[in-house]
Amino acid sequence: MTRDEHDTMLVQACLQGDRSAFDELVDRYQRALYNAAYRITGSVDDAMDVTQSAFVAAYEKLHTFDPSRRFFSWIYRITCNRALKVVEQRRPLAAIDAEAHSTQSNPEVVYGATESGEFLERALRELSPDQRIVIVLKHILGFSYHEIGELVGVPEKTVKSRLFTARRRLRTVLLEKGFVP
Amino acid sequence: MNRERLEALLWERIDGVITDADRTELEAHLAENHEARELEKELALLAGRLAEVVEVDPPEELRPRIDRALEAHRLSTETTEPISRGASPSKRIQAPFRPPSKIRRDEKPTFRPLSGNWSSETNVITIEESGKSPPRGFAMATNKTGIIGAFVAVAVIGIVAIGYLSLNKAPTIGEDAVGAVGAADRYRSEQITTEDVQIEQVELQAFLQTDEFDQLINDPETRKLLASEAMQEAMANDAVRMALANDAVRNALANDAVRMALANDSFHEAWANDAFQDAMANDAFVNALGRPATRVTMSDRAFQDALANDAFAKALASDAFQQAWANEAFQDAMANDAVAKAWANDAFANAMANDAFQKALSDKAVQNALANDAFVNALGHQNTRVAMTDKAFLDALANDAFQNALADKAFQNALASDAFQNAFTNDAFQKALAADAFQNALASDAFRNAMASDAFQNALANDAFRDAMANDAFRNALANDAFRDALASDAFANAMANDAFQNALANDAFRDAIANDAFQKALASDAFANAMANDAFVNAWANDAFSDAMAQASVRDALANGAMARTMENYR
Repeated sequence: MTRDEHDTMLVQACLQGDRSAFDELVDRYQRALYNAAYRITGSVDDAMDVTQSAFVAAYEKLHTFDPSRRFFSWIYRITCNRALKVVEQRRPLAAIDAEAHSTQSNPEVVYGATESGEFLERALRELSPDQRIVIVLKHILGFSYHEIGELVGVPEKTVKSRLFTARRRLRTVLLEKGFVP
Repeated sequence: MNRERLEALLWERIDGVITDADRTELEAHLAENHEARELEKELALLAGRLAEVVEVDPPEELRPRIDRALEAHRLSTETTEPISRGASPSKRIQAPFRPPSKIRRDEKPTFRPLSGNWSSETNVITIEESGKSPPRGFAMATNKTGIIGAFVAVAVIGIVAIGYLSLNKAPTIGEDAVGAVGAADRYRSEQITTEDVQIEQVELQAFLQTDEFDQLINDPETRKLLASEAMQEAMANDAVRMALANDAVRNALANDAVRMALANDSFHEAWANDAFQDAMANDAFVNALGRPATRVTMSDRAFQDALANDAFAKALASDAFQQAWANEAFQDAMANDAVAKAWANDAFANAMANDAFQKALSDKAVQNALANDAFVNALGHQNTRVAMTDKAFLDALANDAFQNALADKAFQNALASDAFQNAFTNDAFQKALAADAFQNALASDAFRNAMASDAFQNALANDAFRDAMANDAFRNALANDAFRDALASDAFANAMANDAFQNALANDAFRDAIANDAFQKALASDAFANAMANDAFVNAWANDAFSDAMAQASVRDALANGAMARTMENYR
């Protein structure tokens, strides 16, 4: 059974009243969703809020989930939309608490751990949310163009062009900051 | 190979999606170009750095938070269900109040303590006014879910009671007061005590000791709501009390999202707003509160901020808006992110207060259009919202033809296009939108398809084209089937994208020609359409002499003649 098939089975079990099935979905995806939310919002607190509300929204709307689609794509889109809304509502864009994660249990794995990581992190924050999302999905979460297209809800061709623009912008920002990769 | 292609191919190779042919081309280019190799190194290094950006571990408290939120959600959905089933609790819960209609607004209501009794025979709990007869209490089945329902009702009565206490200058309910109330002695004020709520049923008493009960009563959002002056003032209002006596509102109050929303500062202000109170007393609105989509809307910060806007609050109380709330498509649309973005915008809020917009909202086509992503995305666009402040646009929105067009996919896609949205802010386009001829044209598939075409949308970016749309002759032409068919044709679409043609549209003689039957007949002919696909022919439009010639009846008649059109085709 593939991972997607297993997800669909868990969704069906949940709809039939098995609460532990949804818990398993949370186990599976909280890390990826939190990471996506964190990369988009740049804030630990916002990322936690977004991840939590995305799971609740998914649970609430589980009956509307189309089993022919990927569960992860579905909940991922919910998460990204919510994270984007947080970013849009934040006026002005609050300083992103890159330091916040350094206080977490695993500071060494935070991208602020190295000088280049910090540069990169700052540069990423200067991209538009759309651009940041594709970079995060491609380079940090390792999705294919096709998967990104599904997650973001745009054609693969658009993913490609958006990624191209985002990478260009990222390079420009890095160069402006005096960091040559 | 230019730099852009080089960069694109380098990334494709890094991503592992480059084709063999492109790889060969890229490698050949790299072999002979030093600058290209430098870029190759730079991109490879950047990709490497990006790959080093590792995933972060979620904070440890995330999982327990998710679990708590899911549990709270499960609890809230369980509490709402039993209350909404069977005989309407509103008929049973008369609440400790006189009917709102008998309470004057300037009268300070008095609180009457409650007492509760459980009948083992009927398996029913009654809570009644102490010392009063006949009792005004409520009855509820005492199965597990019924108990949860009872708890909600007790909590709601508690909420209402606390509101009354504060009105009677009783100690203000603050963080400390409510926070200190334990599971079994929550109502420890002078007026209401555990003795007042004499619940004998063991299971219920056990429930009152549970974390779930404690959680709700100690819910900061509930406390915040109760502590707010606006809420306390609102309690003096008939509409609010009536709202609180309403099943849907009570059910909604059992939902985390609604309580959080109601406890929001903006909502505090809204509670004090007559229009909002009236809205809360409206069946359609409160029934809508029971739907997840509405709760999502209400918990949205933009919506709450919008409530602070008088125009918006007034709109919320309008009949048209409340009728619209009864429509599920509308409710779903309201919960949509793009609409949420629109809530926060003053232009949208003000538009909502506009009669024409409200009238439009009460129309099914508009409501369904609101459920359409393309239309909603258009609403999220600044220019659309600016357009919504324009009377011409709002009048158009209230027009049947426009509303029907809104239900059309092609038109929705057109609306969502940047070109269209930019046109919205243009006076000439707004004038066109408001014109009957234009609106009637919207009823035509051919015209809507034309509008959805890139060529039409690109043409919209052109001043001359927009001016032409505002021109009577052009709009009259729009009323003509042949012209609309021509508009939808590739040849005409290509011509529309042509500067010369667009400039020709600025010429009165040309516009008059367009509105002419003979010309339109010619337009509809294949031969003419083919001629239009020719640049030289289209460029000729820009020539004043040519345009003037078009204004001549004889020329137009000639154009309408198949032989002439065929000649033109040959000419090209």
